[in-house]
Amino acid sequence: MTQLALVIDLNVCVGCHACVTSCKEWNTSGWAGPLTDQRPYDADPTGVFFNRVQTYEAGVFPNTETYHFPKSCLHCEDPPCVPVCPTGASYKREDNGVVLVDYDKCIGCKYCSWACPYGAREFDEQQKVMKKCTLCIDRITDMSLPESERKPACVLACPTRARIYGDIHDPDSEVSVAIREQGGYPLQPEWGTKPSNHYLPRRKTRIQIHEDELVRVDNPLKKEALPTLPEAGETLDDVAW
Amino acid sequence: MQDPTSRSDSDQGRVEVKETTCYMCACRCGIRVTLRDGEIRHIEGNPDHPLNKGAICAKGSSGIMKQYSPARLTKPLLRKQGAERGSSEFEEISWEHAFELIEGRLSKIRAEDPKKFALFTGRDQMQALTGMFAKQFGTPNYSAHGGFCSVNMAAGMIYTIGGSFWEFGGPDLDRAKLFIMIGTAEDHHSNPLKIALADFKRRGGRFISINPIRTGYSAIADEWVPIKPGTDGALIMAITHELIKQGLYDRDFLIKYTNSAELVVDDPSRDDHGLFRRFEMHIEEGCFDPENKLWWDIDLDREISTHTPGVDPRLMGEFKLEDGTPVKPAFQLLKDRVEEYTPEWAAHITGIPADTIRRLAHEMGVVARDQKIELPIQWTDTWGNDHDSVIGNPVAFHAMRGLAAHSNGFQSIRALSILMTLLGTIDRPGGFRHKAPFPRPIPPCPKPPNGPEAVQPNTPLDGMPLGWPSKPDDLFVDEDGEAVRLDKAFSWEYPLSVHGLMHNVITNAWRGDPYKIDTLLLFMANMAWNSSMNTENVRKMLTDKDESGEYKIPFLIVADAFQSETVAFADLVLPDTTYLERHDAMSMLDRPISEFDGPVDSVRIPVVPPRGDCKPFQEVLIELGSRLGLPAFVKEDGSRKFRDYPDFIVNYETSPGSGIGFLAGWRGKGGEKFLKGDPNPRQWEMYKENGCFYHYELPKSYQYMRNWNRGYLEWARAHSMIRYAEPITIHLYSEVLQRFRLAAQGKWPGRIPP
Repeated sequence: MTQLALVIDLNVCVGCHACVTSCKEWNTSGWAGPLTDQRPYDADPTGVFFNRVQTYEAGVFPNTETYHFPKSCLHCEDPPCVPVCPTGASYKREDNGVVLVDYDKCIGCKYCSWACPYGAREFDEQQKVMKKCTLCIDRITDMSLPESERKPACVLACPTRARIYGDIHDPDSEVSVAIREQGGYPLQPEWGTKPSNHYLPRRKTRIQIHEDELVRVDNPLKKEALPTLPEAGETLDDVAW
Repeated sequence: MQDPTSRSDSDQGRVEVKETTCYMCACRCGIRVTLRDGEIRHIEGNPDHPLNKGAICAKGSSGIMKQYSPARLTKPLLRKQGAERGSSEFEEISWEHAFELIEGRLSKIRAEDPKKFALFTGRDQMQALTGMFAKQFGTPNYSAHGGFCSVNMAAGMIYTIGGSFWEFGGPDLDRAKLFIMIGTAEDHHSNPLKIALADFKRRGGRFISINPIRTGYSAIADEWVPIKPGTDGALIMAITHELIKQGLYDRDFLIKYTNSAELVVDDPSRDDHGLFRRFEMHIEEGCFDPENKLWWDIDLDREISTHTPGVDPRLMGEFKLEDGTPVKPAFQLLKDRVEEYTPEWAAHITGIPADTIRRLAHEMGVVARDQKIELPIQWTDTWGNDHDSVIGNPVAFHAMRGLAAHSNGFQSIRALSILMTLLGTIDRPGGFRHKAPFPRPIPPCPKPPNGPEAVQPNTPLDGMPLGWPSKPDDLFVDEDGEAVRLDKAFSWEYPLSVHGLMHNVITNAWRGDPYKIDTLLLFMANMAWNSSMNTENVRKMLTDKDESGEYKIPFLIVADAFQSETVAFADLVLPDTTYLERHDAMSMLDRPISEFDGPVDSVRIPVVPPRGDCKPFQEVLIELGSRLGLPAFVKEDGSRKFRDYPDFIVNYETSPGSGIGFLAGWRGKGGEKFLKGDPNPRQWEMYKENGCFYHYELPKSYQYMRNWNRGYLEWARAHSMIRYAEPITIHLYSEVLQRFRLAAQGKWPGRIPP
């Protein structure tokens, strides 16, 4: 069975929010829209986002790290949001593993958001239904789009190409290779939800310079050394016999 | 709900896809706009565009919010009779009424004293047009926002290496092995830098970020070096100290391509102290560095003409010329200067431990020296030497306003340029690379006028409103040394303010210092909010009245797409369009979007019609230029020359028959030429067919070492990008600055300060 998912490379994510707004823009007018905003031009605006970047600081100055952490529905293989839904609105597609909500069946009881350990669901206060990332289901399955564009909006937008999209059940897919070779990990595996989305960790490059590498034989300072003549005075030529 | 896989988004309504150029920030990425039933459905990056390669940022995707913002202005507005400025009480008027008002006012000013009209613009991407309008009007009072933004970045680097970061050059991360980013957050430029940075990290390059805060790009740095704000110059000087002390500089590069080995008079009692010792030779007057200077030959132990074949000159020491003149190589002056700037000294100022500063210097120096790149690209230098390869020292830097937007910014950035030069990284693979039309002479040729007589009634300004002074005599001051420009750019106070000083304009106009003006026209500049660093007082000054009850700044016109804070203070408001509603040209005459491999320019083509009565500011200028009879906009008989802005862009030439216009692509009658050629009536269509950009890729042998690359320089001259195919020697030592210093000491033979 196909399981579509995102692999997000934290090694290159700069937290620019391109994925956040491109997602919102595509989806608000798409199949899963609208992503309702409240008070968008006033104080304390709030609204529905399928994808958010959370930024954390870790460590103690000056040894700190800043993590930009994009988070959306992880399209779990065993999604806890599905069995708790009393109306069957929350479902997992059999053809590609994407977890979706059917708004026509949703009664806004929020059981699914309580069941989701990742906080990935967003309640639309205006329409009173639960919404969430669809992996841009209306892009990825739209055969009228060229194949290069049959990807989630966030993936196409990402300037650092930190978001890779594909089938994690296909061992040869780009996502599977990335997970395997670059230490990809799921979030909180202890919950047993088997999240499909994975994250790639930070990697550090360092340079070691040994002291003996500092000065080489062709050091340009040697060029500038003025010729030093021996000081006038006695030499062995003068005193030895 | 319908099964999502059984529908296509493109079947919902009438869908069209159009290409244009983004303007949500100043980067100008290529975008594809999808329309549904004539309204914007969504905006994505254009995958074929050389700048963003399909990426789009958070702002770019949000362009739809700007388009449908409830704050849009839709009608020309006139402050109501009796209403006070700032009260936002306006009446809607027609464009004809607005034009009549402006025409009446401006034609009177132009006939009496053109400098009483001031035109200042914000993050204006058509300064070639706005600047030209000001020049044609005859006022020197023009600039965009650069004076409080990146001017130090442009000036500090261009006065040193003949190019600068962002639009005119940048870090070659495709080949760099060590990348040091200083004082940059998430912008300047945005998508291209993010794309390059991610690829660089994936290839295992080492990324060091020097920044007071760890945000944005710094988050993914391999090492973050926190620094106290505004102290970057001290850090760079200490690194320079350590590089010289260890001999970790590229001696060969410094000798051949910079003025490091050139001999400077070293006698404080002489009037030519600190100037290069020059020998007499016939020199064609021009804005390039004539090769009439001296080296000190190691073998002969005497002075010799620079670039004498086979000569190895000294970089250090002090010498006496045959005529007894004491001299030092420019490099020795740098060494003397940084002697006291030890890592321990800088540690105290910057908050960075001395050992870290030394390690940073060693990493830079050792990577540059030991991990050289050699590309099998043949090229010929300006002295006629053939080279079989291009060498790169793969240490790249990027810096922006963290350095630039400080009072010490110019010198900090000059210090950074010197550091990049010491490492031998200028226009070489893995280092800094230029983007056309740079490199340009140091400093570039255009000069501001140098006296008040350049401003005459009913006459274009004699010179450019903005330029590049190379000596005190280029300053734009009167006999008493007083500024001629309202913002006092190019005065003794602000000699190298090459982007003007927009933030001074309202204060100076209000004070009447150096003089009072009549009309101030602001375009996309929110001076009453964030563009003056003095929002409260700007509002007071805009509403302040003189004894007779008249506003001290008599007439304020604001052109903007939105109801900005400043709009409330306007007497007349001109509703501009958004970037999705108009034609635009990102011109080689201004700041194009060139790549390292060659010139690129781009256009905007409307994807939706203007909202309400909005009119692109470009059209406003063409209309006003025609009504006021400004020479560039009218025929000899005074009749209108250009139908509208698109017509102007196609047919305007810098002088009749010059073949140089706003757009470089598809010139010539059938679009067969580029950079230079006759106007092409189908030029807009050709841009449209090509994703709204034109990209000319230079031959490989012209892509590097362009300051001294004969092939490139002759190509650039043949295509009218530069006036002289002469070497652009890096100013490790700035004789330009010394000329101003000598003037201050009363030793300069020309102008001296009052």
